Amino acid sequence: MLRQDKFPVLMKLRSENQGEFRHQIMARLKNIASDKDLTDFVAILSQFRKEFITDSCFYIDVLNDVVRNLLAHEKKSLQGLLDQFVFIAEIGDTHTHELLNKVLNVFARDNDALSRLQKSMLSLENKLRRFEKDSDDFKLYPMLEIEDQWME
Amino acid sequence: MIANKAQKYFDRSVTAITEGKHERGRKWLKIAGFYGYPTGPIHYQQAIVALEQLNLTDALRLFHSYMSLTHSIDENVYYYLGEIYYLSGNKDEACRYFKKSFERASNLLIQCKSLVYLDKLNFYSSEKVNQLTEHKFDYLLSIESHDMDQKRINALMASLRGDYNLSIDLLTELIEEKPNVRELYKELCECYLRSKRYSAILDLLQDKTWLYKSDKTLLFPLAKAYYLSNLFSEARQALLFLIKALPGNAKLYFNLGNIYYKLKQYNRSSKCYMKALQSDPQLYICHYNIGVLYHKTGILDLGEEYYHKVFDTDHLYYSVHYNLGVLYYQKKQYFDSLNAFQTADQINRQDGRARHNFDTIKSIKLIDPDTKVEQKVLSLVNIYLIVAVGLLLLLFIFFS
Repeated sequence: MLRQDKFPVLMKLRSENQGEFRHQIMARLKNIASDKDLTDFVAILSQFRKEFITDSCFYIDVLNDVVRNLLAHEKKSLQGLLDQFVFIAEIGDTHTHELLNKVLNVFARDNDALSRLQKSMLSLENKLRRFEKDSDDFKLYPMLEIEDQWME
Repeated sequence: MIANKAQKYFDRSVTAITEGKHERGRKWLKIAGFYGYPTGPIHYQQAIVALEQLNLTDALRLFHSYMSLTHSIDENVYYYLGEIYYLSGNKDEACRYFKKSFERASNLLIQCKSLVYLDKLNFYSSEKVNQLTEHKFDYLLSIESHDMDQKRINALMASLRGDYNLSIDLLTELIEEKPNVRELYKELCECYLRSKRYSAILDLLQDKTWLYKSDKTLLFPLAKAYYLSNLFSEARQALLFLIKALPGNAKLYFNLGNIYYKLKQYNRSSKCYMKALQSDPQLYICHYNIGVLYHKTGILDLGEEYYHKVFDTDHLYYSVHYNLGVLYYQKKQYFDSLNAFQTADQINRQDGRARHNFDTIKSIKLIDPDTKVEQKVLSLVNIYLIVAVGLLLLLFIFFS
């Protein structure tokens, strides 16, 4: 109940307007990235975990930005951030992979989350390798042409 | 004596006008007027000439003058008024008058012609048209009428029922009997258009310049037939002539815009769509087409702006969202691109292209191939640079 109260507008939008919901989440994440607000980040991630998993392609760019910014500034509660990063690594892309590399090389030497992050990195690497294999087949259908019917 | 002379000249003028000899018809009408023939019917004939010459303002004025001079309501005139509004691009008014003439006209042929127009303008559902046609057909069988009119009515009814072969046979037969009656050519063209036999229209009209010189409304089916037969330069010529006569018709500009697009003259095409929008700001399809033009020529911001102007047009909604998806992808706005493709897919699940693009972008985004392509290019440049520097060094060593 308490959780729901934190994002009443987003909760309402989630069931009523998917498009607007996504835009609002994006705006919220961008704010978190600029304010470097870890508490809010943790709250939003745990509240809308399902959406972040199913629609990860929509949010992953901004999630990477948030993590990048927080990593640069969050020294006190690094543990909290790394816990979230384990989750993001599961839905991540090539930029997440770069960030993981950085974290594993610099921050997480003596951290409990190290082993979990290493596991995540391995599974992410596998996923990316699989996609890279198929990347030659990625072709988009082109744009649609004009409406060219004869008008009476 | 004077009355007889007046009648004689009037009858002559009617024959001349029916055969497309407008100048001669006008002359006989003047003489009939001089001998005291009533002004009302003279204005009626002059209005028909003005209509066929696409002088729509004159035609409208003369028909109204005829109605006020004869002090009676001639329901047959509603058909011509409908035609005037149809040619000027006002569909609603056209439907109103065609409905009136279909319900009230005393002339059966005019009733049938009105029903053909109403069907063309999708005023009635196809079931309703079938119902009306059957009802009218039963009625026609029970009465006697002028032979030529009867055949024409039968032809029009057959066309409405979808029996195009019968309709074409009847009208061709009539044209062979009376090759100077232009109305027959119009009806035959309409039948060819309904049955999508565009080359037949070209065969019928292409060499008969006298036909559309005397009745310029025949340029409409001709232009359409050229366009649908992919003869765009010829279609352009016909349309330019029509636009000169009817400069306020937005649909003509839209069609011309499409022709220029097919001829790859994008600048002219865009100007035509703009002009169509000036005449009819509700023609949202023009916004979409301008959007496609800008998008295609790489002016993405303007393309996006025009796509966003399209609304309230259900059949365009899929195309707009799909193309916005492509456009945002080109602008590397992946969030918006994915959103647009997902919306497009929700609008039309059968197509599958939006879904494919959504899934592909999802995968492309994951591995970010742009960076890899850039990296590959950079490494190639580096190799070339190293080779060039090496060669220069060798030359330097050699000469020194």
